[in-house]
Amino acid sequence: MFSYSLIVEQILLGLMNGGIYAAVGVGLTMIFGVMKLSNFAHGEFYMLGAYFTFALVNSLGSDPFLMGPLSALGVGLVSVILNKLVFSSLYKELREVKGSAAFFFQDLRFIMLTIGLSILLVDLALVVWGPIPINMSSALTSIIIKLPGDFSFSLARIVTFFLALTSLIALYLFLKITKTGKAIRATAQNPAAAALSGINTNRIYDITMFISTTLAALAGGFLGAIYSLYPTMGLDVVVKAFVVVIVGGMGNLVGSIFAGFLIGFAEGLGGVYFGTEYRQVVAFVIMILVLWFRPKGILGRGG
Amino acid sequence: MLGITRQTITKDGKYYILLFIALLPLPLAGDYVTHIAIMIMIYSVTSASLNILVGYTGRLSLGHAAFFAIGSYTSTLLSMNLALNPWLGIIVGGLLAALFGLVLGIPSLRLKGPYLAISTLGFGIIVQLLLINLDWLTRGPIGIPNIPPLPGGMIDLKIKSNFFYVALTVFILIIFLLGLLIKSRVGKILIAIREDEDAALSIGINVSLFKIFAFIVSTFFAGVSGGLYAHYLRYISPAMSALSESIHILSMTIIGGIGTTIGPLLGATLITILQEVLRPYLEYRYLIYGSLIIVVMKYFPSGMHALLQVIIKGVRK
Repeated sequence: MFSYSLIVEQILLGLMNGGIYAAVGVGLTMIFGVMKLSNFAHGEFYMLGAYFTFALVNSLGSDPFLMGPLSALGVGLVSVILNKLVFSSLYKELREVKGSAAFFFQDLRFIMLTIGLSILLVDLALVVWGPIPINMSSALTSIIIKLPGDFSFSLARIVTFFLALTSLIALYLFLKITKTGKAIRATAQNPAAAALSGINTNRIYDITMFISTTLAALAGGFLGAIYSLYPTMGLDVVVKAFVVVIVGGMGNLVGSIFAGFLIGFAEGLGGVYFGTEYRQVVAFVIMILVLWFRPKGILGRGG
Repeated sequence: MLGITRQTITKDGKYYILLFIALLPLPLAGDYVTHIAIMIMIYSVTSASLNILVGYTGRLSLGHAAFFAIGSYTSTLLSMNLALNPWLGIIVGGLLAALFGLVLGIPSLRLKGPYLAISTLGFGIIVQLLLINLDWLTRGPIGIPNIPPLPGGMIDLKIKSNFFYVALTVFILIIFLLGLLIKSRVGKILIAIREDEDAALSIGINVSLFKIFAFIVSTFFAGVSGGLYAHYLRYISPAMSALSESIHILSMTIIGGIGTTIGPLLGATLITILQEVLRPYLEYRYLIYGSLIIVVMKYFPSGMHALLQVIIKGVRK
């Protein structure tokens, strides 16, 4: 019924998308693991990454793949400022009520704060860049690489995929080896004990925010060159990223990476069999199955 | 049996009758104000229904608009395709929404916080996708125009001031019932579950049963308000089930004052009026809306209800 090459092509495409889901999901799971914050505004940093890249490309006349990392750093800085303005003073309150009845309201308060931030940032993009989707061209999108077996992908996609993979591996090593990485993991496990042993937890929160949003913005900048830019592009991604985080286990970094690829793969396959209009449902079906059989995620909750 | 005394009913009833009487002359202010008032009352019901789930039982939902949409589509399609009386259609719409609430509620029993939020969010997106893609039934993304109005016998309910009294009666009735529910033993059980699920379980409360009950009641009234909306505006579309709509309803509940009887009414009033006031600044509307949510949540996490209480106390002194 379906040609073999179509299925393989969709799966490869799905896996490439999976790399992006993983990059955005990993940031989300880090913020959850370290700050206990369900960041519904996470997709907006992805969106800002794309628009910042566009602004840089527009004014400097360079390639999105060169300007992407630069704009991602800018988005990271913006997120740290927002973190200081909105959330910093509240983390302690949230920590103090953990386990008590008031925790539900504090948690809800955080979720609403991130939703408010998301609404605000989407409208900001709408005001600044307008509602019409913007296409950003890159030299890499026009170079088509032929793979054995009749498949061809643009160089942009392949570069994006490998950059996503590289930054995920770099992040993993950073958290495992460096002192700051260990401090982040210590704060995630027990903030009070981490503070007692001399870790400045507020600084750790800033660093975590910076790393997570930079990753999302990087993904946004590169994908912006492949697809197009529109103000609500972050909303579609954040939903997918949350699914990734739940499937992988909240706060579990490796789980999120694994889940990102799994969902990309399943979407590619699901798109072939059920039609692209139901593609989005595939991710939710996987999530429901995981919540049903393994509520703590495929790889369990991480530290 | 329910733990409500006759005194509570008459005492509460008095306030609701007073509110009813106070609002009676509102249509004199013209069609525009009447329209806004009707929208506020419909959204108050939706937001109060969400409050049962979020405010009293402690279950966060980001998909409440889906039940609103299910109620409105059911009632609309039944009245248009099967010529069912829209009054009956609204009830059936509520029941179908409650059935979906049951379907979502059972697997969600074990879920909490962000997990439940994402599951309900996913439910809302799936409902929206179905409304868009099952176009033989729902007429696809363009929505359904020319929905029959509510039949009122001799009274033409297409006229806003007439519809206002229907909406007012339904609104007062539902708010009164939900208020009584919370004051009853059932309401106290729901609050106990919110405060400490394990403790509630340890004193022999069937926690699962009451959580599902909260889901059913909440989604039923969301469906009813959806039906009312459909036969009032007479146009519905799949966008009604969008995440932004769920957030809209949730922010009414939370900004008004979560877990309070009048909070949802205050929130629905503030946000509906705010949206109207900001209509000329269409582009900046959500900028202000988002900032408002941030400011309220950061500095007044208990919402307008608590603010109102502070003011009332100040006046009494």
